Amino acid sequence: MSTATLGSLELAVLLAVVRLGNDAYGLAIRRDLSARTHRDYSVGATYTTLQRLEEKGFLTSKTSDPLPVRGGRSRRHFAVTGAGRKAIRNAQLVSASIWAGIGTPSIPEPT
Amino acid sequence: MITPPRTAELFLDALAEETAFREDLVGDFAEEFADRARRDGTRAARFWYYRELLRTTPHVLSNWVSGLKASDAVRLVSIAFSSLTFLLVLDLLPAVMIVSIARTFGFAHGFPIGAPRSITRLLIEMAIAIPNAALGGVIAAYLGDRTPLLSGLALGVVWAGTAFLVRFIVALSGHGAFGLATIGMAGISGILILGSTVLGAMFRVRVKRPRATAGS
Repeated sequence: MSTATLGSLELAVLLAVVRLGNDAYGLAIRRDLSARTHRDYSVGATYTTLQRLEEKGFLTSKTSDPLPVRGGRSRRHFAVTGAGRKAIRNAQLVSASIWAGIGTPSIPEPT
Repeated sequence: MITPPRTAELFLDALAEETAFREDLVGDFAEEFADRARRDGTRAARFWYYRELLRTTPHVLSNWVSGLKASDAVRLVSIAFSSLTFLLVLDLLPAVMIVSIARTFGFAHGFPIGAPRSITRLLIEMAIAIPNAALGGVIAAYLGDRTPLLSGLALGVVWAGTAFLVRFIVALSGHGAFGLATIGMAGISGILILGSTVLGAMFRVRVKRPRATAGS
């Protein structure tokens, strides 16, 4: 089990990278996150999270060839490492454990 | 050819420390800008760029601060003081010339250091300080090549802080008032100096990194 913990945004970013596969680069990840969470994450928030995840060893990255649409800059494509997959599994187990015994309908409605 | 707003792009380019991180940020901004310009028009895309820059800056700065080591802070302060010293040496020759010319025309005294007593005096001081601060920003960005904007900012903070402190000490020694008006003027001059050093640093980045164009 991985010792490093995942924040909620970090987990969402890791899952987006898994989902996007070979197309997982900054802009695509941000769009995927925003579409699923209905929140407009800034470019800075996405990239600082990606950088943190790479430092933790949960992500690796490689750069593409320069692209005209990016002003001649390359894209950095991300992929989840073994440690990253372990961290996702761990977060899933923790979440399931926290939710165990609680059915969604039993949550009291806010008054 | 669709190109993002130049000043905003330069600011972003100068902001990030690590080269790969900077390329990612600026590249994503350029790609999204091009998409939005095609879909919503250039005006809306430019608005998005500036708004997104405002939202992104705190993240980049807080990321930088959270990874800041004591050695980084010492490096920034030393860059600020080195560029200030370099600038003072550069200024010395023209200053001596100005004082000599002033004396030739019968002005025995130059501009004494102290609290500005009038708006005119403040304006004269700023007319001298702003280009100097911008030049200082260029020097700081040159010396702190890895973090040009932060180096310019560090110089601005040291400069404005020193100027404020000098005025405070002069006022305490009984050579000038240090009321709210003086604090206000010192604050305005501090902001102008800080802005000028940042602009100087951005100018250095502009000269160093040729513009890339975004489009499809």
